Amino acid sequence: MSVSGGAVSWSALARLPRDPIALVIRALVAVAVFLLAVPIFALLSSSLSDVQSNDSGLTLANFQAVLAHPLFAPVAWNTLMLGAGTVAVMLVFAVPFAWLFTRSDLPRKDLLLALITVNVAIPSFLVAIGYIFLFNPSNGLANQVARDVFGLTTSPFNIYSLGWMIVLQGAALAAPAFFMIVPCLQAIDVALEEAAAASGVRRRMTTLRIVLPLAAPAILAAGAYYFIIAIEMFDYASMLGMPARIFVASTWLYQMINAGTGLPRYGEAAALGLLVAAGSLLVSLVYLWSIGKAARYAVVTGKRQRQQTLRLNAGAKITAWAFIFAYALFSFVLPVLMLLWASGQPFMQLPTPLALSRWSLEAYHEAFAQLPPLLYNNLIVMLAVPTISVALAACVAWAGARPLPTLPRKRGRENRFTLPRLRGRVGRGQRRGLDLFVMMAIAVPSIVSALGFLYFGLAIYRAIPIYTTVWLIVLAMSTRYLTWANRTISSNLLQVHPEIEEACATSGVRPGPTFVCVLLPTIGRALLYSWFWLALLSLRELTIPIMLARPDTAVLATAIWSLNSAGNPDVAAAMSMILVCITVVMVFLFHKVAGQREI
Amino acid sequence: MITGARLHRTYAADDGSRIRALDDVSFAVSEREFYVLLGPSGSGKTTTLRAIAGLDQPDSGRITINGKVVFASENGIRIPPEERPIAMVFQSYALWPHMDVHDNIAFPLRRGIRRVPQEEAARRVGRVVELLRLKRELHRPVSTLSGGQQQRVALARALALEPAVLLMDEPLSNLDARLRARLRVELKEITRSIGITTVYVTHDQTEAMVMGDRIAVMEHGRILQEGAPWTLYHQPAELFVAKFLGEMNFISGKIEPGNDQYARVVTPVGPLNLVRSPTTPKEGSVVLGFRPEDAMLVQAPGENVICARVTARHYLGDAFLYQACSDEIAFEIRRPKAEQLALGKEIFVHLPPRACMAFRGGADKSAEEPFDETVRSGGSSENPRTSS
Repeated sequence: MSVSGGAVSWSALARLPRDPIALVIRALVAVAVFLLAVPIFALLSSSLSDVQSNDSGLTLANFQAVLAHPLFAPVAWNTLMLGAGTVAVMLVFAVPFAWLFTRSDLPRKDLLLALITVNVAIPSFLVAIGYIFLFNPSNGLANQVARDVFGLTTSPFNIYSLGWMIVLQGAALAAPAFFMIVPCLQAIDVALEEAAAASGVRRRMTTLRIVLPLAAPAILAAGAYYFIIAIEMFDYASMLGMPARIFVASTWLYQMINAGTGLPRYGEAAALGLLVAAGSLLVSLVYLWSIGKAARYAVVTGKRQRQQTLRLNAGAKITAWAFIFAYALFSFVLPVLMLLWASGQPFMQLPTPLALSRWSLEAYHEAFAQLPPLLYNNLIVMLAVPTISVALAACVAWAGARPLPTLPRKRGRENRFTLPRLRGRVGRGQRRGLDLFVMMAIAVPSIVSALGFLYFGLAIYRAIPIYTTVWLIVLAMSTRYLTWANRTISSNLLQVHPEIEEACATSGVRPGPTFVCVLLPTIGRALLYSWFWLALLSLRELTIPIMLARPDTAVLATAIWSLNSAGNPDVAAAMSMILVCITVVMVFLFHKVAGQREI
Repeated sequence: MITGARLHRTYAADDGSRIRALDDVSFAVSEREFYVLLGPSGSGKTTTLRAIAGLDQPDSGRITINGKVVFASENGIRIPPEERPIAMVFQSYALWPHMDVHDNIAFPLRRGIRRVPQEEAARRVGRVVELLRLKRELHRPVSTLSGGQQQRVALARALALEPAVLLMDEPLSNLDARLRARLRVELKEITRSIGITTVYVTHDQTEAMVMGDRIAVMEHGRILQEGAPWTLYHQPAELFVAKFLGEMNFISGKIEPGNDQYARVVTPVGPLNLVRSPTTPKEGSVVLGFRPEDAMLVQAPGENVICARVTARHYLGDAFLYQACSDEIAFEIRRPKAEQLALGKEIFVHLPPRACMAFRGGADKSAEEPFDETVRSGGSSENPRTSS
């Protein structure tokens, strides 16, 4: 019973509703692509139109205004220094930590992991506030000590400088960078080192000529990735830079929108945002190149043996832990202690017995009074952002790394359709295009992306009044985190043996149910891990909410930021301590839920 | 039952060149037949199987299963794998890791296109579990099973679908030698008892010989020869087939026309007679081949006798394998263990004309044999994952 071509095409069309899940997935992929494209199109349209002249034609006036602005050259220079400096400081910490973690017999690696996880979770703006209490030139604790105890007439420490921004931000980003470098180092098979040792090559030579070249692409990738993060981060740049009028791209952008005087310069901000995105694009090309190179070096052995090749003697172990503890002290213990101290004092004073007796909970009362609406908004953000990001990222990862379920397509006169390819060669271009698009989206820094969503919210306000709700923040953050989630999920999905999926097809299970019933459960742990990680990140996010939050859609991060800049340091500190407590609980839960997961 | 006609498939290699995975492949598998695709890595056997399954699409050609066209390039018919009346057993078993044995078998019956009512599904699961002796493992997570058990679960999952066609892609290659030998027989018995049409891919010649009703030997994307195991072993049509199935010694020479029945090959060790087959070349340079176990020992020189000296002796358990050397050539012979030959002993090796074969092709071709090692070690040492 031969089947004619026409009959087959008809049955192909009839298949359409038979796999509704695949259709939903396709729709979600389209949503993801739309969201990722929103900021770029919003920025393009507002940067190319001239608001002042009310002319509907396209103009480059905004770009000219930005490039000719007296701030442009110093901002460009400061931004570059901030990015490069941050990455340098970050690598000084992250590479040794990752090396110790994967390659040595360092005792209590679980503690190292816990310390670094806490450091990822501690919001950066809290660290900044803590250090302001310690090192600000007027009444910073260290400066008070220098003046009162050592009799200096000037303040030796000034936190409001590019140098402090670089050092603190570098130390903060070392923690997430650690999590990016560790899997790459783990993927380098220990057997490669053992082979060198067995061939009579000395350890130092092996490290220098074999492990380091193999690890270099991963380290370079981390450097490029966090360069972009470093220039998008608003925390340090705003709190340590703006008071001293040291502007970088992100703070200049903010200032254009939230100018103290005059109208917001939307067009110029959009132009600046696009310029920043263009610069980041170059960096992201380095990132993509090195990621590809690192993947090629990864030796997937199947057996994940945790053999340590670097034996540390007692002295080395003590030195290593001293280094780790110093880092923890510097990057979060000290600033949190400062917050704790400052939260009970109406003004900054030395921790004398008298001052201690005056420590009060007054600021906490005020902080708690402001808390309910903030917590409500935070809860929405923390639940919605990871959910949206992970759901969209899983669909994109499947469509990108896996076949996009294709519908019957018209080709020429004949009614043909292409099969949903399982790892076939055809359709690869389409999939790789999607993959590349999502990866390139890291080149749009948060602050720029947030600006894009601001314009988008304003543009659609009449139709959909999302602009005044917390959901605009949710959308912008979900979009930004989507790229991160996609990276984790697609690498997990790629590790699933293709025959697992093919076995579904050959036993009559369609692509949609295969995705939901087989693939998702298989990578369930990774999904859960990503969800929790993003929940943690969204709790500490300042950059996107600061651009989009209105008084009634403020979250904890923006409230603390405003309190601090409005000269309410004790309430800011009290609220910061509350946030620290929430964070600690979250990290504990995260550890419970996803702790067993190998990184 | 299954037919493939003029299948072509080229891949783009990493360096940009084109690889011909299938080069005009045609075949026909009849009902209840156990059809084996045999060949080295990259010969196109797995590509052929995946084309039948629908996991891979040829560039051109036509495939039918059960009389229904499932792939035809000329009118764009491409039935996706889930709609074909097949079931497949994979090399990695591809068990769904988050389900237990029962769910692995039942999932396609409940959520697939070929779903059946609950009672029917339960009945089928019970039947295959009985057939493959998996009752005790029924509710164990699949990751806790041994390789052999996982293999049986994979087979159970496939058989529970009661497919028209069972496709197997090197299902035994991840198991150790002893288990493989046992499961080989078991697999054959099971497929025969339920009378299912089977297409089986392997690079292991012993597996192919034991299991196959019919074997197709593939190389470079082409089917070189198709036939029953006995035919392929004793009447290989091409040098490659002769080499790939079993052991063979080769002597290059020039063939003389002779008569209808016999031909004579002039070799460095003198003229050797052989019985003509339809594929024996008429004239020109040839390679004469004989199998080590076909060589006989005689007391004195004579017609079809090579004088040689024993240079090495290998004990195989059931027999001895000797390496022998004349002034011109080296070869191997296999003798029963009752008859021991001392090293250095001069022997007279008689090659019965019926056991000698001639193939077209120069000595140069036999010299650069890439899978010589595979043949020597009985095909068990080849890395299974590299096959395409």
